[in-house]
Amino acid sequence: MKAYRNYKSAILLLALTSLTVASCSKNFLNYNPQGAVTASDLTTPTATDALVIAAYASLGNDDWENMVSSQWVWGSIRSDEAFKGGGSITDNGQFNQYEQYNLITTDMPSNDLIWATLYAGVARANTALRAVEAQTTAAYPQKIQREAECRFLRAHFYFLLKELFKNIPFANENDAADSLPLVSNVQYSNDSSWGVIANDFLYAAQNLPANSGQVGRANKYWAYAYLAKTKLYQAYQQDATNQVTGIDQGDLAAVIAYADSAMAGPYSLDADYADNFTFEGENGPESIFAIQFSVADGTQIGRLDMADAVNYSIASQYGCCSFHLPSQNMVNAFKTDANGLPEFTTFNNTSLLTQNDFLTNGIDPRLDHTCAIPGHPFKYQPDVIFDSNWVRLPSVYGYHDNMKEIQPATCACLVKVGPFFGSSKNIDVIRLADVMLWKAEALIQSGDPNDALPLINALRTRAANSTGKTRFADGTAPSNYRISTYQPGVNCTWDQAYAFQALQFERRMEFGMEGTRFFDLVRWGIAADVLNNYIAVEKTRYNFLANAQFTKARDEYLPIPQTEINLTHGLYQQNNGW
Amino acid sequence: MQNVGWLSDLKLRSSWGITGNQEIGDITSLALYRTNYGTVGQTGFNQNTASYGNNGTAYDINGAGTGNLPSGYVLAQAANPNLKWESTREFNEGIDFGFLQNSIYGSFDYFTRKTKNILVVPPYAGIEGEGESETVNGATKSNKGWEFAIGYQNHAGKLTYNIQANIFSFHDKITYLPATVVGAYPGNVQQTILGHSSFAQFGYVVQGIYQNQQDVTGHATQPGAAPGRLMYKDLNGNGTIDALDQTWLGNQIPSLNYGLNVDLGYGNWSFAFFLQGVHGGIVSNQHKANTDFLGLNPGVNIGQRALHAWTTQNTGSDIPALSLVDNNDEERFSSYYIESGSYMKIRNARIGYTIPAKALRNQHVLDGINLFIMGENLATFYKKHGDKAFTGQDPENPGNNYPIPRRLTAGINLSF
Repeated sequence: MKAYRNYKSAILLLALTSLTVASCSKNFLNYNPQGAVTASDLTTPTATDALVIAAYASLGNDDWENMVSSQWVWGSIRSDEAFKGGGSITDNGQFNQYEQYNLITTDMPSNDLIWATLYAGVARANTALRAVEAQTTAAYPQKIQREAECRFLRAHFYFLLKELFKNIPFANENDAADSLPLVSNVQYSNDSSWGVIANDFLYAAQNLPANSGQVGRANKYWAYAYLAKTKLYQAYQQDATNQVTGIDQGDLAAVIAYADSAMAGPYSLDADYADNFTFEGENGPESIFAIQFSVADGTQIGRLDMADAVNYSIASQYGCCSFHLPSQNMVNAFKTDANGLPEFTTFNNTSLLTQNDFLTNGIDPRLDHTCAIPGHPFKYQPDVIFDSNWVRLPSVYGYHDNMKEIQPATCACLVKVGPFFGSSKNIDVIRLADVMLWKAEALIQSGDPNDALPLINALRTRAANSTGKTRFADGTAPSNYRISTYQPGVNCTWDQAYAFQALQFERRMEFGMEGTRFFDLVRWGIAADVLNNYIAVEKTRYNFLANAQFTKARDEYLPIPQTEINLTHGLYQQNNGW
Repeated sequence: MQNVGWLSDLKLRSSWGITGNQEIGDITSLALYRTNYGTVGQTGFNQNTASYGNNGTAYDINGAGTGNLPSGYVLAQAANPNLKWESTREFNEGIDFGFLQNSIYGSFDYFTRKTKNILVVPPYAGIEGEGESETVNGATKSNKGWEFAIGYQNHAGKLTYNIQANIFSFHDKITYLPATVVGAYPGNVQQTILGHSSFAQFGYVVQGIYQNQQDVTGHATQPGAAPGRLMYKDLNGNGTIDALDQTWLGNQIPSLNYGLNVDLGYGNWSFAFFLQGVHGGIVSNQHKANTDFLGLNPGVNIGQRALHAWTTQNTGSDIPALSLVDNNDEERFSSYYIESGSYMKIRNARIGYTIPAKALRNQHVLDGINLFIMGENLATFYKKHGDKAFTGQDPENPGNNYPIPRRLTAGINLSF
C-alpha cells in the first residue's frame, strides 16, 4: 500500500514538473522518443555507410519460399532442366504451379511475395542513396563511390524484377513514399525499361573503383559485367506478346564492349569447374559478383543461403527435403557424340538411366558436377557414393538429385536450421564464364561467330580438365568423360547458325541447375517451343507433367500480382495473356 | 402515476457518449528505423512465409565468411503526422418496465453508434518497400441495433415460474472509405467494402461441378479445370476466371439473436433450462478443407464427406472429385465454404429435488439436501439439408474440428 502511495505521489510530482516545463516551451507536445531511431539520427557519414550495408543485406534476405539469391524456382524448375521435387506434388505446391505453367494464377501469394521482397531491396538502395546524396564530399569522401554502389544494387533488383514480371514500375530515390504507388508499370516501353536499368549500371561502372577494397563491395567490373548482361537482354526486342521481333545490333556492340571492360578485370576461370561450387572455392578468381553468406557471425543462425535449404536429400547425414531435382531431359543433354560434341537435336531420344548408360555413352564431365546420379561419387567425395535410397519420391520425380548448391555434410559452412540446412557458401550472381558466353552470344548474333569460338572452347577445355574431383577413390571415373572443343573443318562447320546452337547448348551445360535456363529461353524467344517439346516427351517419363502446358505469349512472364493491382487501385496493367 | 395499479415500474433511459480507441502502439505518428543485426523471421512484407529467412541489416561485406558483420538500418514504421483519435459516438435510448406487481417485466433498447477515423494499418504497395506500414485514420462505420427483453414470473398453487426471453439484432455498415485504407478490407479493384458490413465475406461463386470435358471447354477459361472439379462463375463474363470474378457472399452477422430462460418450481421439484440461438447470417466453414479436399492438408485425417465425392458414377454429388493436388485452386475463398450460420442450442437444463425439511427433523447435522441432474450443450439444431446447409460440427465454431462437448452432471448438495 505504501508503494502504491509513493507511486501516486510520483505521478503527481511528474505531472507538476511537466506542467512547469511545458509552460516554458512552445513545442511541448512534440516528443522525441528515446531509444528509437528516427531519420534525423541517420544523417552522419557512419550512419550513411550503414544504410548502404543494409541495402547489401537485401541481396541475401530470403528463404526457399521467397527466393532472391538463388533462382532455382524462377529459372530452373520453370525450365526444361529441373523438377520441383520434395515430399509430394503438393509439397510447396506453388512451385508445382510454376512448373506446370497452366496452374499459375494472378493471385498466387508467392507472386506477390517475390515482387514485394525485390522492391524491398530497391527501397533499401533508394533509402541509402538519399542519405548518400545528402552528404557533401568534404564530410563524406566516398560519396560518389557509394552512390554508384547504391545504383548498382538497385539495378540488380530491377533486373530480377524485369526478368520475372517484364512490366515493372521504377521507383526513383527522390520519389516520396506516398507517390510511389502512383508510378505506372507501363511508364516505359520494354526496351526503355531495360535502358533505365542499364543506365544505373553504367553510372556504377563509370564511378566505381577497380578495387573496392572489400570482397563483397561492388567494383567497376561487377557493373560492367552486369551492364553487358542487361544490354544483351535489351538487344532481343520483344513485342507486346513477349515474342522476339528483332535483335538490335547497337546493343550487341555494347554487350561486346562492356564484356571486354569486365574481362579486363583481375578475373580468370577457376582451374577446376568444381571450385565454383565448393565452400573452399568461394570468392575464387572466377567469381565476379557473389552474394556473401556467413556463419558464426553473431546472428541468430548465421547469414546463410536459406533459399537452397530444402534442397538437401534425405540421406542420413542430411535429412530433408529433396527439392530441385534434374529432369531426365537435363541428364540426357550431357551426352556427347563420338567427337565429344553435344547431340544438339538427338540427345533426348534415349535416356541415361543405368550405371552402364553413363559408361557406354560419351558424357560431358560437367554432369558429375551438376547432377547426383546413383552410384556416382557425391559432391567431390570419392568415398561417399550417391545412393538411390537418398531419393525421396522416385515414383514421381525419378532418381536424380541436384549437386551444385549442396555442400558435403562435413562442410564447416553448413548449419542445421530446424529440419533444413543453411550454408554459408556464397551464391555467385555473375561468374566470368557467364560474361564470356554473353560476349560470345553477342558476337555470334552480330555475325562474328569466329571470335566467339575461343570463348566457348575455353569453357569446354576447362570442363575437360575438370575430372579430378569427380572420380572414385581408385581414380576411375563414374562416367565416360568425352568432351572436345569445336574445331571448324575437323569436327564441325562453324557458321552462324551452328555457332548459335553451340552457344545455346554451352550455356545449358555450363550453367545447368544454376537458375538461368528459363530466362535464356525467354530471351532467345524460344521458350514456348522448347518447353512444350520438352513436356511432350518428359510427361511420358514422369506422369506428374501429364497436363502441363506452356502458353505462348503469356507464360514467358509471371502475372503482375493481383494484390499489387488492388493496392494501386487498378493502376498496374496486367501482363499479356493473364 | 402512483395510482396506476397495473403499472409497477417504468423508466425511460437515454445516454450519449463519445469514446476513443486506445488499441494503438506508442509513437505511431513517427517514422522509425531499426537495426536488425540478424534474427531470422518472415521475409515477406505483405504476407507470412516460413520463419527461417534472413531479413536483417547485417552483411558480410568483407567476405570473411564469419565474425562480426557491419550492420545498418531499415525503416520499421512510416510517419503519419496527421494521426488522430478514433472516436465512437454512441446514442442509446431505452425503456424499462414492470406490470402487475412486476410479474411482467422487461426492457427495450435502441442504439446507434458511429465510429469515425477508424485506426488501421493498411497493407501497402510493394514498391514502397519494407517498413512503410503506417497507422492511419480511415473508414467510418455506423452501427444500429435493438434489444427487447421480457420476463414473466408468477405462481399458481404449488407451481412457481419465471420465464425470461430476449431478442436482439444489430447491423453495421461502412459508410466512408478513403482510398488509403481500401486494401485493409475485403474487395478488389472494382468493388470495395463501402456500403457493406465490416463482417461481409468476399469471394468466388461456385456454379457447380464440371461433369465432363464438354463442360470444361464450354466454360470460361479456368486454370486447373477438369471433370469433377468446381466450376467458378464468370461473373464479369470476360471468358476467364480471375480475381475480378469475386463478389459479396453474405454477412456473418445474424439478423436475429435470441435466448429463452425458463425456471420452474413445483413443490420440492425444480426444473430450468436455457435456450439460445441465432438466425440468419453465414459462416465460413473452413473445416471443409479437411472433409472435402485431400490435397489441402496432406497427411491429416479426412472427414466422412470425402466418401460422397463426385465420381463418374456419382455425378449428382456437389462435393468435387477427390484429388491429392489442388490444381483448380479450390482452396480459394468461394461460396463453396459459405454455409448457414443459424442454430438453436439447448445450452443447459437442470432438474432438482429438495428433500423436504420434515424428513430431516430428527437430526441436527444437515440443514438441507438437494439432488440434481444437470446437462450442458444438450442439443444443437441447425440447417442440415438444402441450400447452404451447414456441414461441419458446430455452426457456432465453424472452423473447429471438434464439437463442443456435451456434459451431464449429477450431484447432491448437502447443507450443514
